[in-house]
Parts: sequence; structure tokens; C-alpha cells
Amino acid sequence: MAPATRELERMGLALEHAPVGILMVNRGGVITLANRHAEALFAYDPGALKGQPLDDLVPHGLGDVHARHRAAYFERPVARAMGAGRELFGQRSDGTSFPLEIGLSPVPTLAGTMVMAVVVDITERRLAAEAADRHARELERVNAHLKRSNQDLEDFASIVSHDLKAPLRAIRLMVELLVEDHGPRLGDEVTGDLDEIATRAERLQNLIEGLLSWTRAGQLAPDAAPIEVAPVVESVLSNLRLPDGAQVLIADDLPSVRVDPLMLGRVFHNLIDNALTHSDHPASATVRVEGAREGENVCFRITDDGPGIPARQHARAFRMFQSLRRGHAGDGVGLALVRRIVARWGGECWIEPAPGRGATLTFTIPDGE
Amino acid sequence: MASDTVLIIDDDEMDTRLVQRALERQPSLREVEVFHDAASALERLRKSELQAPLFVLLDLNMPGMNGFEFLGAMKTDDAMGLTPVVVWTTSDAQQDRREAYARGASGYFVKPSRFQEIVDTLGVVDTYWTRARRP
Repeated sequence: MAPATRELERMGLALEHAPVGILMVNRGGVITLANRHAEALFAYDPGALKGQPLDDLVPHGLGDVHARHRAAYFERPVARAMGAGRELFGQRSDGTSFPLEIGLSPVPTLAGTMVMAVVVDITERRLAAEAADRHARELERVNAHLKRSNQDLEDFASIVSHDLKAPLRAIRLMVELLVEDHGPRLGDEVTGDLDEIATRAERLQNLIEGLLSWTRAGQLAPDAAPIEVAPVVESVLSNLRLPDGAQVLIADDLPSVRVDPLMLGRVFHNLIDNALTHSDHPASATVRVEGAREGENVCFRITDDGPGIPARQHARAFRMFQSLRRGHAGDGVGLALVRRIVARWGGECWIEPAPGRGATLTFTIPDGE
Repeated sequence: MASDTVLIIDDDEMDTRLVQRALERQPSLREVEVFHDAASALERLRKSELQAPLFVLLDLNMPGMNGFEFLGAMKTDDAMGLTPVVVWTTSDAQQDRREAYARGASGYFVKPSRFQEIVDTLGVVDTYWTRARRP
């Protein structure tokens, strides 16, 4: 056996089981070596590639171009990736093609310089990339859609609120004028009915105000300065009309937070008001406000000693216009607003049964410290 | 039109009635002219060869010519431009307020929800423009 042939054979043995396709080609474009992986990639029987023109592995119509590239490479043979920036394809023995990546390096042999090509089938990688692309596009589309519907919702609520406010104001004013003009002649029953109309109209007006603040809560900008929470809660208490005998206990060690104090006040207002409104013994109700740093969050808990909230209603409680108990004065906006504000801060809120009796409403704010 | 006239431009009939009644409660009695659309109010102001009204009370949101358009037309007119226009609207939007002032409004009030507040607010407006007018 000629030394050159022996040399090739030894190389072939060394590369036979490499987990990538390896081809060696001479200056004339003839395959002088192909390992098992390369044969499998191009769907050839073992031994069938050796001696074949390399052009057999190049997709139809590209043979000429490839021959020119090959000639140019032999003029200046350096190790490099083939076809940088372009998509490369190989052709199998059955005529089908597949995407591939090729690394080229010159190999001096006894039979002259040859080119070794390391071939990797990138079909799987290509498919995965395409799938990732599709997912990214889908995500983008969904995101845009979400943004749009959020905006629509805000616009809708704001338009509806303004349009609802005008006729309500009219109802209240007309009732007021009726009483003013004809009060003494109306009698107690009619006056009482008119009062009721005014009260209902007022409640509806508050509800619409709530709806408006709920939509506006979606547009909050977070505030960076840390604030003490106890003064916020105390100012909330001074604005809330606590039933005589009811008490709200504020823990001494409430942690500071970095959020807009007005919005934080709104959250505490709604939660404490909610606890007191739904108490079954308002004149002796006790509400506790506690807080602590827990992991990456600041947690606040508002615990009451009321009738509690059944577990199956916990999720519903935070939805818009869900007043859970018939005949109770809630407007159904309070907790929805809490959830929206807290979500805006990147926190969460939930309900748990309090030990013994009552319910605990917890909300978290990511700790900015 | 005499200087003790107040012009009301509002498409809402209840509101014009309320304003009329509130003005009746003021110490100085005003003649009130009501327009339910801005275009005919503008026409009326243009044609009027008599003195301008004491002030104009203007709603913003009206079909046809709206309050902003009315302000734009009136405030760029040499003859009418000096008459104070007080906006009287249900809108509490910042951008409405800003635009109204930018177009030359002399005041901006969100329509109160209580009759007594209407009486009080119009009392202040009336007194202010009466004094501002006095030579």
C-alpha cells in the first residue's frame, strides 16, 4: 500500500467514530475520506462516499458556484467556517436537502494539501430557533393586545364614569329642589322616599368615583422615597368614621416602604373600612394592623374579628363590584382597587381566616430597601 | 343686551334652569338669556349692538359647536373678546381646564352637585365680575 494511502487510512480510523460528520476533499473535488457520521448525514451506505465527487453533496444548481469557492480556498487555505453569514445546505443521496454548518481546515498530506470539512446538521437547531421566534412573535402580539385592551378598559371606564356622573348629579339636584320648594307640603312619607332616592344616588356617585380611582390606579408611578407607614394609617383613621366603641390597633413596628403615600393610604383606608363595614358587632369591633419584612417583601396584615369570609369567596372578594353579602353597604370597588394598586407595585394580596374568628387581609410590597 | 345680563350657554335644560334659579337668589337681579347651542349664542353676541353681557356662563360639552370652539371664535373677535367667559362644566379633566384657559376663559367651575353650592359659586362669580366692571 502506498504511503499516501496508508496515511489516509490511519486518519480515517482516527475520525471514524467522531460525533460530527467529517469529509476530506482533494484539490480536484473528490472525496478522499468520509467518516461514518458524514455518511449517515448524507444518507450513503458505509464506504459509498469515498471516491465520489464532492459536488454530489451540494444541492442542484450550486455545483458551479461551489467549485469556484473550492478552487479559491485551495489558493488560500486557512481554517475558517464556510459560507460565513450565509445559509448552507447539503444534499442527501435521495435528493432531499438539509441545513448544515461547515468548518474548513487545510490538511497537508503526502498526496498534497487536502481540505477537511467538519459538517454539522443544524436541522434541529434551526427548528428550535424557528419555534423560539414564533413564540417571541406570539408573545409580542399577545402583549400588544393586552396593552390595547388595558387602554381600552381605562378609556371605557373613564368615559362611562363621566357620562354616568351627569345624570346622577341631576337626580340629586332635582330631589333637593323638590324638597326645598315643596318640603312642608310633601308629608313625611314622600320626604322619606325622596331622601332614599338622594341616598341611593349618592351611593351610586361614590361607586362611580371608586370606578374612576380604580382606572386611575392603573396609571400610577411608583414613588422612590421611603415612607413611614404608621402616620399614613393614622391619617386614614382620622378620615374614617369609626363606629363608637370600635378600635383599630396599629402595631409599633410597621416597616417603611417606598410607594406613593396617597395610594398606600387608599389601600389601608379600603381594607380597614372593609373590615369595619362587614363586622357583625361594629360597636365592639377590633381591627389590627401589623407589618413585617418577610424575605423580599414587606407584608402588611389587616385582621378583623368579624364573621370571616368563606374560603370559596376569597378570590371573588377582590373582583370589581362583588359585594359578597346581601344588604351590606360596600360598593364593591374597595378591594378591587386594593388589588389593582398592590399589583401595580408588583405585590400581591389575599385573604386568610384569622385564628379564632374573623379574616386577615394581607398585601405585600416588594422590598425596595 | 344690557350689562346686567348673564348669558347661559348649555344644552342641558336642567342645568340652565338650576343656574337661572340660583341667579334669582343673588342680591342683584340679573336678566338671563339662555342658549341651548353655542352657534346661536355667538350669532346673538355678534348681532347685538347694545352693551355686552356681564359675563357668559359656558358649558363645554355640547352638540354642534362645543364650548372650546365657541371660546376660540369669541375670544379672537375684537368686539366680543373682552366679555368674560366662565366655563361651567361637569368635566374635571386637567386638559379641559388647561385648554379652556388657553382659549381665553376667565374662570373654570365644575358644576356643583348641591344646589346651595351652585348658588354660592354663582354669587362669587357675579360679585367678582360686577366689581371688575365698575369704572
